[in-house]
Amino acid sequence: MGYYSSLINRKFKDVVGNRYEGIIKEYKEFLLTEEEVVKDVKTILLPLDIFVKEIPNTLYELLSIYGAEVTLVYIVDRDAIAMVKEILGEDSAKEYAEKKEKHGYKLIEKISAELGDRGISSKERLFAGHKLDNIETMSNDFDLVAISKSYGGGRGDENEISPVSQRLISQINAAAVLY
Amino acid sequence: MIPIETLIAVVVFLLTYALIIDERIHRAVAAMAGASVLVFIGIVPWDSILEHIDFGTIFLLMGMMIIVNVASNSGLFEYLAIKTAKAAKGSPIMVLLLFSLVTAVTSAFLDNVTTVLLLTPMLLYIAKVMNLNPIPFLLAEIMASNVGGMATLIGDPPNIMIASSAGLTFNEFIVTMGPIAAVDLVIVLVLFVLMYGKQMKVTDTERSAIKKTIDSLDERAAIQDAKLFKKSIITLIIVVALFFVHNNIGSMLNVILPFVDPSMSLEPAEVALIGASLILFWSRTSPEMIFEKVEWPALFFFGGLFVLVGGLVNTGVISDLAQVVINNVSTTGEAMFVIAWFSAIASAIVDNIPLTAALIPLIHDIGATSTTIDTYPLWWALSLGACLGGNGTAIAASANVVVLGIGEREGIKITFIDFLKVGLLVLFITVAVGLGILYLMF
Repeated sequence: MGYYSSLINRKFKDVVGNRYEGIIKEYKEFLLTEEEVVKDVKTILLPLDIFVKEIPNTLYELLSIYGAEVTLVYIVDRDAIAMVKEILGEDSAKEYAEKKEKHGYKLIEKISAELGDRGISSKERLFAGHKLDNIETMSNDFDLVAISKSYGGGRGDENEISPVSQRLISQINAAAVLY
Repeated sequence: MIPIETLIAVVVFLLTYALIIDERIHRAVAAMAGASVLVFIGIVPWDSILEHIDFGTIFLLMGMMIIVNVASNSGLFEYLAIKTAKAAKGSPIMVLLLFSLVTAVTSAFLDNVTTVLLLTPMLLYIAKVMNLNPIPFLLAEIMASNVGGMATLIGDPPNIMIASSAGLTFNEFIVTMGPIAAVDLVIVLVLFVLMYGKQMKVTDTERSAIKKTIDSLDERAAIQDAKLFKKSIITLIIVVALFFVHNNIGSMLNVILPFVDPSMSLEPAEVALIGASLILFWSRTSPEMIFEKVEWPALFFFGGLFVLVGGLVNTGVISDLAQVVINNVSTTGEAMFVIAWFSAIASAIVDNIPLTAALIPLIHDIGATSTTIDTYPLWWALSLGACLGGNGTAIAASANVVVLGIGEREGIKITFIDFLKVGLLVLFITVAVGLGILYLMF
């Protein structure tokens, strides 16, 4: 190291002390690294279920930044329908499924309208399936997945994030945003 | 025949100065050691130490350090950095201009070192996102910091020292140095656009991609403590407002509190300490944590410097130098010219703080001795030269060293010569223009 470089370093240490390391650590918490920068997002997957009550404005703003097509996927828990069928019979299961689907369509319509108002195109899908496995498989075809902390249920005082959301975040390969 | 104590005072001063420049020993330790020598052999007796140490400067610095330390805990600077980045809308030229403007304005009211320390990481990140050479951005930030710091009483340590010694008010600085800083900042920005504008051209697609990445940052994520964030902004506004009225606070308070003497004024140090008390009280931040972060070495550095200069005063070195100036300079205009250029060039080579500390008693002596030279404009000439001299070389000011040091850590090398080419050009043009404006004023 030349005299000039070592002089700059000495003066830097004397002037700044230990502050620089703390500042860099704070910046890293919200600056995206090169690996994290999602350079080209063309498709976004937005899983929904009975536990996702609404989409916050901040997520809408983020989605409008990307300008990508959003696929809304509402999943009715297939295992829950099967359980109702086993315990209460087929008619009750059918009624249960219809109720969940009605709720699902309502939510999808609301979100779709909101996206449309912001100039974002969307696709809608609703089906009975497995909330973790289906989304994990589908995520491979998308650039970004926006997951609610409440998705899958089980979020409470002790769980800031639902178990299903936690597993999805750790298992999917696509970039993910947790809201 | 030079008296031995005079020789010792000069040698100790120069040796200490050399140690400060080289920085193999911490500057505060060097200054304290030099001061200790002078105190030990009685050149600066104990009872004159308190006369020489400018507590106004030290307490003003301390107060502002406390305020800035508390405010920076809230994420205020990082928030500002992200907002500035987003405002540029993906244009590299706008990034250069906006970051320089924000740096200049922030440096005018808060200390330069903290300003550049907190803004530079964001600037480097944006340069990386833009895939452009970060050097022009870093250099512009340095120049803007030094120019902006010249604008107010609290913007740069030389100004604090000058104000405290000469009894200049915050408003006098704003009125005199503010316009000069504004004009010089425009000059700096125009120079940089002319020198580096071509390198900063990007295609529409690239600009769109840059904007997308920057827009995906959430400035709200930078806010670590929302309540403290708001309290910091309010406190800073109150402190700046108090600085504006510090000289006639008595007449204002007398209206609602008749027992207050209308002629009362607040020293800038008092304003800073009031602001520090307010933010500590209001924020309930742990005082131990904040006091620990006060740059005590810097304060002891100042203390040591004042004693060293006191040695030069006590031994008559300063008054002899003042006589040399008076013998060779006959008008205020000539004196302004000499002071401005000498302090600018000297500040470019050596640290501007010890230089200012030495020139302040010199100007006092000129005022006391000369019948033809008015000292009032000389203070402004000193402020101009000491602050803008910081742009001359890589080691001329603390802000320079901080930005270059951060660059070194991120693998960005700005050589001494690279800096000098730009720095000297900026120095000569800005000092010339600034001196011209001072001549028009006085």
